[in-house]
Amino acid sequence: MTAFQAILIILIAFFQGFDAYGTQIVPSNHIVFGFLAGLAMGDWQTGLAIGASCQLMSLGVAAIGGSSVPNYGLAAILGTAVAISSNADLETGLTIGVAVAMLYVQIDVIVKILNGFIARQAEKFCDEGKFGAMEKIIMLSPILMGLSTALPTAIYCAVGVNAVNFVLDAMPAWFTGGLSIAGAALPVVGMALLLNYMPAKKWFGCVMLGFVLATYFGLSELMSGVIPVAIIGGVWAYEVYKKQAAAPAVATAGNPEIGELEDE
Amino acid sequence: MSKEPVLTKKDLFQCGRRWLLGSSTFNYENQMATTCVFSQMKALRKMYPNDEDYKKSLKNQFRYFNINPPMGSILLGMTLAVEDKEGIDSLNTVNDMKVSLMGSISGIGDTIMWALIPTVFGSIAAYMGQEGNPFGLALYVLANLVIFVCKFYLWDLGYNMGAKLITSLSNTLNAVTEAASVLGLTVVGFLIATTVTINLGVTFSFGDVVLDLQTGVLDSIFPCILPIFATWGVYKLIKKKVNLTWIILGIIVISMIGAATGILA
Repeated sequence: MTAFQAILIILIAFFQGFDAYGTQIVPSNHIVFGFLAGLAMGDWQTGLAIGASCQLMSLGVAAIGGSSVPNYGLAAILGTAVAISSNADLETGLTIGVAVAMLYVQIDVIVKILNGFIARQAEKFCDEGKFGAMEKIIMLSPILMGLSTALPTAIYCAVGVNAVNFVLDAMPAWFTGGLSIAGAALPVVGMALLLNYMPAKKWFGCVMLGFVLATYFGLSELMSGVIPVAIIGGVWAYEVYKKQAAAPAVATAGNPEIGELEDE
Repeated sequence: MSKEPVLTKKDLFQCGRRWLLGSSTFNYENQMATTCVFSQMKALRKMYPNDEDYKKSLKNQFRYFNINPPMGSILLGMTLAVEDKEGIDSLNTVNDMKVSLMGSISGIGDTIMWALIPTVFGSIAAYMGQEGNPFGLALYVLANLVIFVCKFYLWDLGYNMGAKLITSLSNTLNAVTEAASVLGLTVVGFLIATTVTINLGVTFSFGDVVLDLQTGVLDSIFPCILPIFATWGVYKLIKKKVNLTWIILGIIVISMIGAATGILA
């Protein structure tokens, strides 16, 4: 692989990392990244074939609601680079590509944790009235997302296949396993914050209703299971609306819990 | 307190451009809130020349928010219309509308964007690609580009929907807020069960019989019992003003200990 090709591949990887979460020009279109990497390496047919395999592997896999999934776009880019630069067959390229795509899950969790610090700092700047600084620090997040794919790609370009295998072997199981568990459990913080902002005590029954519909009635198994839940919640909400709108004198301007928002 | 709306189509287009940050700002505390702030900060500044009001409105956007990005354009366009008309008094309504609607409209957006389009166009592109034919890929990219261009106009669409809504509901804003809270909290109950995953990895074996504590006991009596108790626990910690950084680091440490000992899976 020439230096120019390496730079092209790293740039494609940077764009992939950002686009998958940010601009979403070609979201979940992994085959196009195999094709682009193939063009950069001078053999688009191989890129297309590897991209196609990654696309088929990924069908039905998407990072919805902030979950972390293997990055098959990155798998297509690296798989293509490996297969073409080392004259290997498609399977070898794919194996390395998918291994890095799995490794990406850990990087993804780390970036999202770092994003939390950026968000906190941005809010602090907002409190201090430094709106320009707030805007600038938020822009670090998309750069981090780009680096999350560009860095592993750059490491591969610089040191080759062995480095990837070395990193994969060097990480202890408690670290990788722990990060996966944390990634799955951490949305709990967002939920708890949300309950703090909203009149959760007053309408505790609503939370339980949604929870029971999701679990015991199995609606969480459906991809759009939230829609029947929203309809049932909507019916209840409409009853509350009718009651409150009919007696505007009784309706208070929000309850005390809503008022406590400014602190923190 | 109603006021004269100040936002123009140009401002909404700018929101759409800045919204391209999408979920790249995703974090585990307020998820996509920083993108909310980033996309609307110019428009909100136009609405609030006063620094104090501007700050309050931005702080409102810093609260938890998570949505399918294209659908978010419509919803945030709607809430911008409400805020543009009702001003600083509408902040609770804006937040409750965001929370109560984000789940259900994300459901629609996610199904189209992550299931329908990749399945239809992705499988066509992949099967043709395996035979060395790039035509299916070109078709997929074309579909992607059409959707990408449409996304810029969704803010304007949402704004007009919100403006109509607010004219018909302006006298009953408190009732709307209360109703939105009811709907929102029902959706939150659903989200606790679907977005938070905590599983025990402990198994007992009695001779040939292996009992998995998570799937064999907990799931059959009280599914998602750990997520709901964890939510309650973190809720209490936040109420007690425990620093969020410590809560998050604590969860990571517990996860790693759980992985090392095999208690969590």
